[in-house]
Amino acid sequence: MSNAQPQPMSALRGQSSIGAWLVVGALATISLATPMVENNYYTSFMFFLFIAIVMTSTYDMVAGYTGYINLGHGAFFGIGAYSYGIAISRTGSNLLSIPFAVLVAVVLAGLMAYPLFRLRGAYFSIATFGVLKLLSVLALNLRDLTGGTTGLSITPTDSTIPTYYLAFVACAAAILLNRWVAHSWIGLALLTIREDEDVAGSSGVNALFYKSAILMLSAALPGFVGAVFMWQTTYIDPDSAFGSNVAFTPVIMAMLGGSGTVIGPVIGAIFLTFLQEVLWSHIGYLQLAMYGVVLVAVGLFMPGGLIRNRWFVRIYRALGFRDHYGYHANSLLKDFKETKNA
Amino acid sequence: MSLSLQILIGAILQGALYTLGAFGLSLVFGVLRVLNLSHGDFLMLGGLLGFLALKSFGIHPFVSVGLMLVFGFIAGALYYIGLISRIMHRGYHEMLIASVMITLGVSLVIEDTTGFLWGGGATGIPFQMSNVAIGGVVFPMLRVTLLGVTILLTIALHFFLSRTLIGRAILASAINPVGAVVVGINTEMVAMFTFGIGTALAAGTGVFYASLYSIEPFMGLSLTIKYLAVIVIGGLGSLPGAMIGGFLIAAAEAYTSYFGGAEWSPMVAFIILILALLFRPQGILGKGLS
Repeated sequence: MSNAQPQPMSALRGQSSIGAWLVVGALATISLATPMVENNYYTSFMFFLFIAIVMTSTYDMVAGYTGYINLGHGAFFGIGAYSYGIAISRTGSNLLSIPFAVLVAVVLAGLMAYPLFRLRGAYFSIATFGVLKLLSVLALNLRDLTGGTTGLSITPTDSTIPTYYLAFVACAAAILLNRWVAHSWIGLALLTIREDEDVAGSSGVNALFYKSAILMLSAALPGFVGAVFMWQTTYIDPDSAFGSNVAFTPVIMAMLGGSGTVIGPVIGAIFLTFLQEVLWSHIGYLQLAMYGVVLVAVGLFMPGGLIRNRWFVRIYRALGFRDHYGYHANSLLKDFKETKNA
Repeated sequence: MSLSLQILIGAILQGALYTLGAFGLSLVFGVLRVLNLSHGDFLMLGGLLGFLALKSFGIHPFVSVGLMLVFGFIAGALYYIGLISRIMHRGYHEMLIASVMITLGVSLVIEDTTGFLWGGGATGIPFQMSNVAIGGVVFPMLRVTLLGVTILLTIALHFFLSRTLIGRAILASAINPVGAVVVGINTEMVAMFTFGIGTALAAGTGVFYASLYSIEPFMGLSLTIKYLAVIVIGGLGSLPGAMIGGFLIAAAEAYTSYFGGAEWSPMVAFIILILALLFRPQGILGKGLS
């Protein structure tokens, strides 16, 4: 990144220009108008795109700020979908079932937080992945509750429009929540944990409290979109709820876009969702292999993700965005130095 | 008594397979600090090539094991030179992220390409050895051979690491990478060798795996994850630890599927994994990550 010199703090934390607001407004308008214009392919595509953005942004709230890579993030989505499916078939009420799904996901995060946050680095990631696999086996074996391998089905309803807008609201909420955390006292506390947890602790930052809080906060929206996903598709099985694919996708999207930024996970989610769609619908074979090649290329050539790539930064700036990282200036400068030296 | 003994012996023989599969992963993690998510795919490739060697050229599976060790070493060394060496100079966190992306990407490429060329069906090497019954307990000879190979390889690896020059260089790099550079060890070379050996062990194990079970192109990642559980329980980067982890998981799985039903046995590995992480995060024999 030869030309991306450290910018003065004011330029980085300053207001985005009119051009940026126009882009955001246009994207929001397209999103809101899609189901009114057509009601099949694009609506469904956008629906899954929103879910991908929610999963990636909330994943990165934990991984980006604290540095803890949560490989079990997909579990919140899966347990949300299952809880909704179980609740709706017993109560028949969305008003009860969706909050129930969110609650179950947050409770799961709370239960995971205390024991697992005693672990650090790769150990935390492996343990969270273990939790995901445990839930997967439970979903397979508790047949009375989950339907086992055949999966869980609910009565289909005319749900395309409400689920689409709920997913859109969740997507906007995830980005705004991420942005709020980035600028807040919590974000600052989490950053100190990422930089040096022991020093943060001895400076009076209650690390366990903040880590648990952000994990529970990051679980709510995945639980919500899990419920919305179940409402829309009316079917879930252990593999689509707790499969390795569900677990790795948000991680890859966030790394690809640029972990530790507000906009990076969004870019990563959009880029990969489009890439998958193009590969799946236009090329009949070897899609996964091409997906893999993209991963390898990004891992080799773009250590900071797309968002820290110089060409990308240029386009991004040209569009008028200034709120580049949404991170505290110190770690921002560190990011620049590291990418420069890489 | 005889039944419970039979389960125990089955578990020990199964543990040998886990150990052998996990050795390479453990070695690579211990020396390079790289989590090789494509480990299981090289195991699958080894099994598949072993199958093809038997089918097309009539090569005996035991010969294929040797061939696969050579193939795996070359493939692993090239893999390291081509991809992994380019990210080794990065800081720990960035290197971890990049290594996850690269090894996962390679895993997807191998799985999908193999699935495309092969057709995606499951296959196994049609090779049997007779069972020997001693005092009412049945010993499947193929698994006993596997146990023998595992023990031999463990001893060989131990002597390789402690007696040969390159082995001691590998150990030195694992213990203190900076110190190793200071005393003049070519750490690039060491890393390449380690990665090659790790991949060779995976490919060699694949032949045994394909003879005992069936293999299919998309099984790599789930195997890697199971072996990851094995080495974490034993202690990341510790070879005797991988052995203990392998036998522990195999025994727990065997007893669970006997007393609780086979459908619960996949859960045991992960319960043990989480418990082990909580009460002894560095693993049974591990020294812990800095």
